[in-house]
Amino acid sequence: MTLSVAMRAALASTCLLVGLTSWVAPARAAQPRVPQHDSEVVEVLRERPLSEQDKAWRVLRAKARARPSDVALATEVAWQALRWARQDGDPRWLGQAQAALNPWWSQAAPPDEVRLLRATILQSTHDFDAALRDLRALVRARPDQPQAWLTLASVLQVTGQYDEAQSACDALKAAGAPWHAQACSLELRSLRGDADAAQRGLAELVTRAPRELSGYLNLIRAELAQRQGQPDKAAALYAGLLAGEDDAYTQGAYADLLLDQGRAASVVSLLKGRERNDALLLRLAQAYAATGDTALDRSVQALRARFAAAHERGDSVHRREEARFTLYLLKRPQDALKLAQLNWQVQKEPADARILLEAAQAAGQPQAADEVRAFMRRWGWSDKRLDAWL
Amino acid sequence: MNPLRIFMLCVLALFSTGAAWAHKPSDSYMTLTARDGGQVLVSWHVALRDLAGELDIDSNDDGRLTWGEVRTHWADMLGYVRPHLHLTHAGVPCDKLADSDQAPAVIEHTDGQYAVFGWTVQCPLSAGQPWSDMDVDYRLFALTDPTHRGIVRWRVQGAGMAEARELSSVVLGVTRTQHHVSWTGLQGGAPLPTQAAEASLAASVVSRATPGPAKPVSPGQASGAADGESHMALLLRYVHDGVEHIAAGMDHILFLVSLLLVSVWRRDGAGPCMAVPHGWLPRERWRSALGEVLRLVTAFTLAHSLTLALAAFGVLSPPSRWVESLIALSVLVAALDNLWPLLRAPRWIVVFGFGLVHGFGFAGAMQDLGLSRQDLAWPLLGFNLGVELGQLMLVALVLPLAFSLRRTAVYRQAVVLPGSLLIATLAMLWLYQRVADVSLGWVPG
Repeated sequence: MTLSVAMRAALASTCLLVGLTSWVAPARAAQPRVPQHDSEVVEVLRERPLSEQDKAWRVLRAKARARPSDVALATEVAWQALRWARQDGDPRWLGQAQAALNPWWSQAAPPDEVRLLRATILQSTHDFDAALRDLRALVRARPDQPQAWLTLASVLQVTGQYDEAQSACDALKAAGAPWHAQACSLELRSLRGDADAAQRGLAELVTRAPRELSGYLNLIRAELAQRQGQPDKAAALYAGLLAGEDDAYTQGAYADLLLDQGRAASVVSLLKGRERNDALLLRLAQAYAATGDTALDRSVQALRARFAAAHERGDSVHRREEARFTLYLLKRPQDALKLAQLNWQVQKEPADARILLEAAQAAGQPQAADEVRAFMRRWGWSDKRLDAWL
Repeated sequence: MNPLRIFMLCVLALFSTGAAWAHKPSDSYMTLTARDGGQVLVSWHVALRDLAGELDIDSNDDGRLTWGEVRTHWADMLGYVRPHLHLTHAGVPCDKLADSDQAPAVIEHTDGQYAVFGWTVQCPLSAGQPWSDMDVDYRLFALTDPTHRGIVRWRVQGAGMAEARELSSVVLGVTRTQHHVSWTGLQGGAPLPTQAAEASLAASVVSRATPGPAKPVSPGQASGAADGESHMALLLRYVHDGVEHIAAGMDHILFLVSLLLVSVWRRDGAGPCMAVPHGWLPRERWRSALGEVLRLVTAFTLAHSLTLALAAFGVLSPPSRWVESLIALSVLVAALDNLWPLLRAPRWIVVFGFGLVHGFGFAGAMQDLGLSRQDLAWPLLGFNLGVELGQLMLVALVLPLAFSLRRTAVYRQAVVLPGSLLIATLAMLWLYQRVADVSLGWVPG
């Protein structure tokens, strides 16, 4: 009877499929291997060439380990580790910095220098509440120290506590960092409804301020220009920044601008070869999706594995990035929305608002982002890129 | 204050809060396999970067580790990591078995290459004595990188078991250095013939550990089999996804609808050329209509199952733009064939061919569900069954209606003719959009 023949055929096909999958499946997982030749390079330890500085640091670290109660040595080791953390974008350096501060790490009131380092490390892992506790205590104890005020202002801005952030910016002047005070205030102004004036102020400030600050100022200007809906100006600023210093954060921000403008091919040429960096791989994958490149599948698999590995160890630092990945590459708006909402609980920068609004829209629940709209209205945030969702 | 110091700081602050890191902090991956006779097989993957940070492995300091450098320092590395792991059974240490060290090897994880250390320890169990409580004490890099974590998996492999069975996994590190496991059912002594049957049902694990940070519940983790989720639940989840995909895939639906509309007719060469739809006669018996439909659906199923599996495992991955364009073309051809006989070959062969292309299209959807290669078998089966179910539901909806109306002029002129024309038009628009890579906002699907 045709019916049973067809049914048998259908069953046979599914059995074939299952058989096929169990045969093929084990072959695809990564397996331990023994390289054939001694000369084969199995791991590249660093992107930048080895320097005398690296060797000197190791010597210093050994000294610090031999004298665990020496605060000066420990903090020296930790500061250098933090600089490398920022330069390489490698969180292992944060672990090294924390290790150097082991004897004082769990103390309620460690020495000030240690406390500042602890706060910096904590905010790098997005433990903002703990970082703020340390920073607030620090500025109370030492109001003349500009570093603490600056880090405090930065964390308060990220967590959307603008009033207190403004006080921190103001305090910078009295603490002997007038340029940073102005930059800080202007950046806050741009988030508090005065974006045009802030833009003018920053343009003027960059001409008057010392050279070392122009990178920092231009980065703020570039992001502000994006929010003002001036992509060409932003692009020019980013290009200038990248000519000077090729760091991952600026590259990522520039890539985002290019993706918004539909210049996916430029993103590919900008970021090709930087796949080792998760944040840049995400932008690269988005560019591949836009250009229809066959490398997309591989990139998506790699990103999926990396996020899974981070989850496996209990990390949840990259929620913003993961929400973007889930929304644009995995195309699961519901899950992306949940991630974006969790992210918004922790940090409230324009990029966090954006992903939440986009995810809510895509999931068909625009009301899920009402908190963002209320926040933006309250502070007078203007972001031309988000107008469509408000 | 040193302005340069301030500058460094503010850039640091600015960067740190805004950016995502290049990759995750340090992890090691350990698998502990408990076997009969009180033996535990230890397999430990430790990142070469981490080891190079503590030991002087990069002999020529060029920033690149060669296999030769790794091999030369293998004993040093092993001597460094081993003391940081302690396994005890009922409070008594399990000692390493002499000559059980495995040969050096490396393995790739998401953030680089790892050294693979393997050896066997013997826990002090006498023959026939059951396993009771195991303790794992993990201290690797505790003082040198407090952010390091060891991801430890317990497995059991009794005498009768062809493959080890996963039991539990835990994340250890400075916040939680110890893990306590107690289980029953796995015999510690030498295997007796009767144990083969028991071993497969073996251990129930009760794990206790000092309270540590709870693993965050994240939707992104939901894709593979969650802890404790049975195969059935996993299967059903993917069946649902498959049905959903068919329901949402207008191009797949319209392809099937085009085929279904004329399945209640059969080809007949005769008839005036200008009469459109051309060359069809209504089938006499419902069995022949059903048979035709099942033939076509089976051909479609076999074809798309094949390419779906090939694409899902990355064996073949044609660029999605071409796949989507070909799918649009298939819909166009199916619709036009309803009106004029375009296809010479038997319909089921054509449908098989198009099914191959649709399969690649499904693969794209499966990718979106977030799976690793290792656990594709059940999801693939489930997704496929879901797609089938969706198709069968469509058939059940359209076929009886079409069959009852097959002889009427209304069906011919008011359903098949405009229906096929509409589908063909839509397919042409899709084809244009997909080939030219543009998006015409007013076109549905």
